[in-house]
Amino acid sequence: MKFFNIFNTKDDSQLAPPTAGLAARIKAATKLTMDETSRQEMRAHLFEYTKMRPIRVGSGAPREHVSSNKRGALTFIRRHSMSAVTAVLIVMVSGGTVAAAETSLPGDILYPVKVHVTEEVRVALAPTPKARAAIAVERAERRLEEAATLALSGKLTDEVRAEIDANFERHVEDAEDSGTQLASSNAQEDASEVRANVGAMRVARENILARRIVHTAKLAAKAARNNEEAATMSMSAEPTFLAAQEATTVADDTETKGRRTAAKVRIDASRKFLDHSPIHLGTTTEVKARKQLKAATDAFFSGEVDAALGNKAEASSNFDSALEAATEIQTLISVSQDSKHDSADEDDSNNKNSNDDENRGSSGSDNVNLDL
Amino acid sequence: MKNEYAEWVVVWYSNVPASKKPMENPSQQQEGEKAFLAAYDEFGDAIFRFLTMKISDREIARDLTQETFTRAWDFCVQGGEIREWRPFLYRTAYNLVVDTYRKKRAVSLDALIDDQGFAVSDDSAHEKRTIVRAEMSRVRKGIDQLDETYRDIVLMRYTEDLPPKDIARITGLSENVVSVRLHRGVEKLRTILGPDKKQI
Repeated sequence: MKFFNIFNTKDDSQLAPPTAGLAARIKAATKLTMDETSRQEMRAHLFEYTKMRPIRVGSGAPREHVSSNKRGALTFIRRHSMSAVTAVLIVMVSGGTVAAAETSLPGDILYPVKVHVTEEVRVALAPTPKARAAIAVERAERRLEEAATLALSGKLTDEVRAEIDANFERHVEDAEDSGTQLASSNAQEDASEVRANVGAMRVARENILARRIVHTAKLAAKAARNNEEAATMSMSAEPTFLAAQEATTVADDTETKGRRTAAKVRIDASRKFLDHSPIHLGTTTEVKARKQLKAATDAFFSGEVDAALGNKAEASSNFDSALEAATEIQTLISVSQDSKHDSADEDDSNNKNSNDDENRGSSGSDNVNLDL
Repeated sequence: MKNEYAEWVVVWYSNVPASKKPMENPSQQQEGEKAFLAAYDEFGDAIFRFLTMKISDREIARDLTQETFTRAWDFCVQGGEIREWRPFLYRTAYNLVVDTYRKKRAVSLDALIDDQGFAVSDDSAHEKRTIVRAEMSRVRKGIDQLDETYRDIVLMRYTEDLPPKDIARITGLSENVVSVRLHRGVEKLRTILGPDKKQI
């Protein structure tokens, strides 16, 4: 009904601005919506995304809520010892540094602040062995993400790799220590969860930190070895067959979890890299890489949904696809960089000419955009 | 040094009243999620439409819509606060197209929208429906003939109902330039469409 009013002369003449008729026609002519299935699917993906990347403690608006109340500050100084006040001052002064250090990578000036100060403070603040284990696993994951990010920009040298690996091992050992503490305090369930997480981190490490990209076939071979080891370890009172079967399931879960972590780390690193790329990628490479990233993210979300629904096989295969797609991004970028170097070596002068042409072309198109 | 530092902070932190401790409020994540999904429910379609018309490819527009929202969430995760979602999302979407997708449009607006059928109320007579479709198609072809410079702004103003102030923020132009382009765009469209044929 609404559309026909547009064509009604009487109604149109009542509209105040002279462009109203045309405006309404433009609006009516350009109606377009997403289909319901796509809309719901995207909503589910976005919901999963918010869970995958939660708002971290300490980020966001509440930082502005630090009180500047004079009386409160004086009371605070009177009530607390000098060392505590000094600590507060250090926190206040170094707040910016700490925040800046959070995004630093090995080789940056602030990287030691991130690893040896802010993260250590978090460990010191963790109240229970379970929380300490969770932080240790998270730190190990951060090391992998750093490695993945550096690998994308071709900066993962042997030296850096060794440094990250050493830190990674330290975190994993911390997690194992906390796991042992949990086991000795009869928290068997928590202890086995920590063990599973540690196993998963080691699988993820194989994919990220190994000298060559390890493909899933190799990971599967490693899983088989893990199964045997786990079977030997859990031989206690149960019959060997059952123990082996259970160990196989545990090893499979660890394997899936490890690939999930590796995929997540690579996806996060790729997204950050593409958003804040320190290297100029060609448009074609960037579009391809983004497509690949999209495929990886989609597969990852599908894996998360399957895992939540208990479809282990589907989840595992989806995480595999996500990992492969995410790993492919690195190949894509390194190939593009290599070919760029090659062409630069081959013909510098030609390249310069073509760049000049390109620059002229792009400034021309900018003019089109900016001219009135 | 690092351990002393950590101990100091532990002492200090244990003396801070719970109400003053930063972010011990688990509701921030929930509130963030709620606002984010509400923004998707409200503006998801609009961003999709905006992107589809900008790049003429529904599949890629769908991907970029998702990317627009994930970028908005990333902004929140990094501590940003979005007070006005609508201009923020349009600006993110606009930048995404400008930064990552420079391909020239290959499909006409008319083909793009005509493809999926045009929704006209069911009780309309067949003849009237045909007339409406013909007129809508004529308008779309007219919009397609506009230079990109005017087309974007006309669509943002009349399809997306964005005020010139927001269009200026999204495109990075001054409000004055937006108003001028809008005026010229509308005039050009009038000329292209010719004498008013509203009563065909």
